Amino acid sequence: MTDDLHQLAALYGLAALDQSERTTFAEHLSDCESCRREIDRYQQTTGLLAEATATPPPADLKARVMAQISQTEQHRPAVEPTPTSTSTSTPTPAPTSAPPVDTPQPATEPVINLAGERQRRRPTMNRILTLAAAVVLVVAGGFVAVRVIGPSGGAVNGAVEQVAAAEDVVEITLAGQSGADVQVLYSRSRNEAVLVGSNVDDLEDSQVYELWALVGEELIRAGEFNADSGELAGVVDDSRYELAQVDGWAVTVEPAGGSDVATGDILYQGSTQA
Amino acid sequence: MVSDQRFPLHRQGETPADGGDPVAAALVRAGRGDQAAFGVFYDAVAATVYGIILRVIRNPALAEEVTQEVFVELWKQAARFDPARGNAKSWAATIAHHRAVDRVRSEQAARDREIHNTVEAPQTGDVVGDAVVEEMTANLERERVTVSLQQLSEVQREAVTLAYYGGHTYREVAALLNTPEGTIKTRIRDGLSKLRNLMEQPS
Repeated sequence: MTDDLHQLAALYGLAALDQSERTTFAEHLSDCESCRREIDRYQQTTGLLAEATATPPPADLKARVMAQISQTEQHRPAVEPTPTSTSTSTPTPAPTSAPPVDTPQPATEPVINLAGERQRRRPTMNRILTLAAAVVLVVAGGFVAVRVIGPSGGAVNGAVEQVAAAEDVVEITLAGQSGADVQVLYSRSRNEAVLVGSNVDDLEDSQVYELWALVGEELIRAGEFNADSGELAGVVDDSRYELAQVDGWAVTVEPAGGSDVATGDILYQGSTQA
Repeated sequence: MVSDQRFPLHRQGETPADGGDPVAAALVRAGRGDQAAFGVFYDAVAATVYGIILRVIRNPALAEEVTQEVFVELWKQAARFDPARGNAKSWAATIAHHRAVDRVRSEQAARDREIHNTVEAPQTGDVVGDAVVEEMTANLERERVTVSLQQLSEVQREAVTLAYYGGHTYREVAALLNTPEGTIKTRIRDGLSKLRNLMEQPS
């Protein structure tokens, strides 16, 4: 079977395999350096075949592409196993340089590296996914540095990051508006919780998101949060109750400064009971 | 090994980091979020990307849509481009070609294309001889492609071009040519290897 697989490199390079063979070969590629080299070389050849058909696209396409990419988050380099790396010019090689449409990256996106040049703001970064990945990776090996980039500055980020990385972190997903991801991350050992969200609506300056802790039958205010570019991040205020006794969480929109009693409709809610 | 993978045409002024290839350099910068650099990269590869997508898909409106998707994908993937493994234009062309092929293989597009195929079916496999060559300019690399393709045997050229420009799987090629699949696999493999050797030779 392996011999047969090696023979498929040319066909793979021409995209002439059917879907199941392509998947099989892509898996083989991740283990076979010699086939990866073959594919790299074929890619140069097929690149020239493509150049032979070069045709200028419609002139207005560039403006549309540039507008769209300005709103589009980039994938991070395929693997960044050493958090202390200071390399700024050479992304760690992907398992293969074959196109991503053929060799899907692992479902868990690698976590952004603290070191290096990537500490800039990523406006559309999906922090929830990053945090989820961070939790997985930290639990799995504890070798990956985590950076959480949020709207509220360094101190909040530090707290969010530490809670997300806590060994006993529990994620409570708050269901609500479709498309949005809102979670409370709670670490019992740290006695700390943070609210994170993405793809939520930005509010006017006169309004805030207010988080409520459900303790028994009572909704107790648990902090106000501003969304920036659809993203929420902040430390939960637990000065009025014990985090360990919270039965659920809810989010409403309140006038700036927050309310003592919820006045808005509940937009997101989730239970701490499994 | 790395230098063996490069084309003579790209060797001038080569440096280890990005092959001295300004397109690769732009793409690497784009991978760090530099939108202006991505614009430079776009200008360098847009005709190649659009051209191969149009060749495979054959419908200009759909090709334009897919081209836009591909460039967004290239932007997302830019940080994963590794200059040591090949040049940036080929990388972009490969992603574009695969995306175009995926699109024509999706059901609706496949149905649309059946109509095209009945209109302009490549009966003799002389796909390059007519339609493609018409579009080629006196560009040196294009000429090399043309010349190299002409050095394949007719059956090899037919199999390679039906697969690559036609977007067909080797099974489809076998069915189109009423030839055993094993034979088509061999023709494609031998044809592409020969092409590669021809194109890697210094000009």
